[in-house]
Amino acid sequence: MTDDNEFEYDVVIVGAGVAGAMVAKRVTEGTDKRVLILEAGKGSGMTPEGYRSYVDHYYSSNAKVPNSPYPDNKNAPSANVLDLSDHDKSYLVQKGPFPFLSDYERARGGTTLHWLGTCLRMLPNDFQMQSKYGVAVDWPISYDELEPYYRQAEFEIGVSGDVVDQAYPGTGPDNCGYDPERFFGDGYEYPMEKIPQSYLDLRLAEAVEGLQVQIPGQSDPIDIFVASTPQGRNSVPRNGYEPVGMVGEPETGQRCEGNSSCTPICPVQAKYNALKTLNQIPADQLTILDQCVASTVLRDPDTNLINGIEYKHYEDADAPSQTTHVARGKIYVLAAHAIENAKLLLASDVANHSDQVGRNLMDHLVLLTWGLMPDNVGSFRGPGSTSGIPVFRDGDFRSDHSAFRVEIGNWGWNWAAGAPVTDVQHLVDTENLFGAHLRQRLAETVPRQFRIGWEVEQLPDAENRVTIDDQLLDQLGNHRPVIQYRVSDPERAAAAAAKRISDELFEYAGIEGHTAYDPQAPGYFTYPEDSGSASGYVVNGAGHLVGTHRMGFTRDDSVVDARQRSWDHLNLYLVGCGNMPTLGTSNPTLTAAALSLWAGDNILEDLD
Amino acid sequence: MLEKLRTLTQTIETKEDLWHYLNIAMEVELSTIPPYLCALYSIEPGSNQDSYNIIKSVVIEEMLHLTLAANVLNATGGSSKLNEPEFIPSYPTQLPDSDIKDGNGHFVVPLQPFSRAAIKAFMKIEHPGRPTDPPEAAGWHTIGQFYDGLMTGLVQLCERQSAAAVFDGDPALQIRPEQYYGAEGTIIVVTDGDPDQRLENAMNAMREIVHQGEGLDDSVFDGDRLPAKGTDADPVPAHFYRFEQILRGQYYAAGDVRERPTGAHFDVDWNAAYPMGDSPKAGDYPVGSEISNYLQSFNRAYVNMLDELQLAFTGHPERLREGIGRMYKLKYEMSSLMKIPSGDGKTTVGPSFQFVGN
Repeated sequence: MTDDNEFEYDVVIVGAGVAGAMVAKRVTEGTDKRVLILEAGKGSGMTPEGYRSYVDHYYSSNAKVPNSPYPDNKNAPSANVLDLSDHDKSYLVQKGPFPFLSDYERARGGTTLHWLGTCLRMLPNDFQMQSKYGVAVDWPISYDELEPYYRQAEFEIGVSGDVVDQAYPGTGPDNCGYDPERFFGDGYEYPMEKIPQSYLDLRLAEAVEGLQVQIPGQSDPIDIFVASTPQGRNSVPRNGYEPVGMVGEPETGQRCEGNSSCTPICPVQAKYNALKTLNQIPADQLTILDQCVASTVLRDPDTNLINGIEYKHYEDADAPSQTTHVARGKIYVLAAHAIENAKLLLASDVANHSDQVGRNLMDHLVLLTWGLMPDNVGSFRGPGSTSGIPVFRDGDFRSDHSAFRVEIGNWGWNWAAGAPVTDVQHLVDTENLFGAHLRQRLAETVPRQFRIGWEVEQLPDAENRVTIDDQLLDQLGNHRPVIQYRVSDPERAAAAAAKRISDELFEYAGIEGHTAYDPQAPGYFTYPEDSGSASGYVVNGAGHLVGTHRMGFTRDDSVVDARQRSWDHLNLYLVGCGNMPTLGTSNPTLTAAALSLWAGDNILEDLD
Repeated sequence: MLEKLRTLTQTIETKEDLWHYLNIAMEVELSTIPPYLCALYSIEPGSNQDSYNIIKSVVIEEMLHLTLAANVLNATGGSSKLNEPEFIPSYPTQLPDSDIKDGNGHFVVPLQPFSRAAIKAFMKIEHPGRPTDPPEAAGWHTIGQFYDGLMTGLVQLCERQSAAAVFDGDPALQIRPEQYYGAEGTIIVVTDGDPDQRLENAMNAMREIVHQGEGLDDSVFDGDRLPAKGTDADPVPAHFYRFEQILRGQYYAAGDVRERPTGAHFDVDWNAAYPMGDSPKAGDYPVGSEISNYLQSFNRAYVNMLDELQLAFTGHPERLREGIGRMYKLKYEMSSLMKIPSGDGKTTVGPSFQFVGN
């Protein structure tokens, strides 16, 4: 690898994931700017052979967890949900009291390698929770200001969806009604037609027809209905949009073809990943250095500007031998995702006048409920989710408890119970079935399996934080993230409300409930019923980590300003989910992408 | 197939003649697909990725040719006959031979696994016409000459009857560009514009078929082929040369001339292919046997797919999506048949692509 110590780039970016890729693309498009990206992990996904090796690794993995296709890398370790019960093995140091349940991926392409692809926008009230509901904080920007960047992000990612389906509380004024011109802007349509809803979605939609439920904190009942979910997955294009296929093999992946393994990997790259954006940047304007882990953000004590990123390069992921270098640019951008960005800032002792770096770590707590539909609904086919029940994303109840998003799952009890593998194990080990009987029993139940994910918004809590400890280092000598984390009453109350609504919905729809929460599970907690006794619940991490270097109104209570620039260092930008002061009820990637494109525009302003 | 081509009249005098020619064109395109698919799905998974991608891209483009021909047919008021027994090719089939030294004037195209013989047969199918060959009345040397005859006939018909009278088909029947993906080329909506434009669209559609297949005169590449999407700008060779790359184990690069590729080399493992038997038939196996049932199930799936395509081409373009879904089903069934031993100790069964009635 070349030693670029002497060359000063226009922009140095840490992290080759979606946020870094969006900044790099925006800064180089139609300009003469030169960008360097430092990526901690490997760049294998950039060639079809390398990408297919990920697919093979996935096929041969025993546990199909989100990071299963991406080989362990001791020099750039990624959090792994399998390590939640094994504190020695875990990269994240879990101080508790509640485990932080999510993972992310450190490799070129980042977590978009394994994301599901759901692309929902945040709602206007998500940006003004304090003013509107008296909880959390307001953003220093509004939905309306971010809206043009949502459109751009939807075109950069390539989102399939129908605007007409996005009619639910929160998209109109005062939480009622639907105003497409306000929410999406006049005449807007997604670049591609919606991904067809699954047969399961359509059966469920019929089954919940006419159902209304109550939710604590809101007097009006809520109508239940099923709506298609916009997603970053190739479908029939509109208006001359050209779908982007596999990097290096562009005719592959031009449409979703139902491989049904989106998380953890789309074998044909019909799903968006950040490699596609990186691939669109002219080679003479972009240098990506893989296997280069940023270790310190260097600060000039006289000017208080950043004057370099020190990084460690390794050849072999399993061995600690390394060489140290410094990258220099006019502007520096940290795009290593919420936990790694915070960790790096703390390790470098920069950008933290506010003492908010690492704080306000938030995630979606996902309560799963599951059961059997009355008939065969063709489970385990198609993308992981093609529809949701979007009616709990906003409302007066948010003064009382968290909002939640309802994701309808197409993959049976896969996430909830490890199906269909566990079904086979159970029938063989416990019921001693084999041959035709085994096949028959599986055929009677597996295609009827159904699960819903109730994704509860977590509000910012200063005690939910990432810190570092000089005694707790990885193989390369970089800090491991030390996580203090808890789940509070607004979230627990919402999970309990969601469970009650789920029970009602299952009964109304004729779904045979099979939800069971194991007190030994890492995400187990109890919450009191009205009756006085407490019920147990298990939540899972959604992989939606945000908040650790939030934007805000003043330098005393936030890390970056509304332009996503550090209050403390005028040539340092932070991008990605860490900038988000609240999480709302949408998967945060689309919002992070929109914010990153905006940051790119701001960086160009600063450069010129 | 060959006999049918030889029955074609010398000139296109009426619209019925034109429709007959176009239906033959569709049958020609369709007839190439089962042999290509047998080669494609006999490749052992995990091997021969480059060859797999090449053959797959040609198959998808043959589907485009089928669709282009259907759009021309529909634009002139005709109807396809994709799922009628007499238009479904049987194998081995015979196609006109570009090399007439042996006097036969034809060559045999069986269903066979991925092999040098198969790739050479594919090159014969796509062989470019010699630049000085005039279109001939009987005894077409190449499929390209057949299309030349078709195009000449279409122009003459329009001169006789007027373009408006010829191109009076319903625009709602056209398959639209956004429904095609996965390989080079683009669907042409023949009914766009006034009648003279429609004639031009039809000519462009047929030129696209010929150029994609055989190339443009001396060029390895088909005309003004746009760069592939993304930042790769390598143009894509015509089918004949694409297959030749497999024989050579080397890609053509931009600017190359025929027989002198300068692109990257790639591995070809001729042994990594399931040894499907030559042109299997359900009747090769006892009636009611497992293999015979499996073959008939495949054949029914094949005909069902043709039914969907026929629906798509005759007024229900949205059915193309169902047709594509059935193509995936065919893929799984073909892959299974490729692995089932035929019982002779040497070959496997493979798919038979026969017509079965409902």
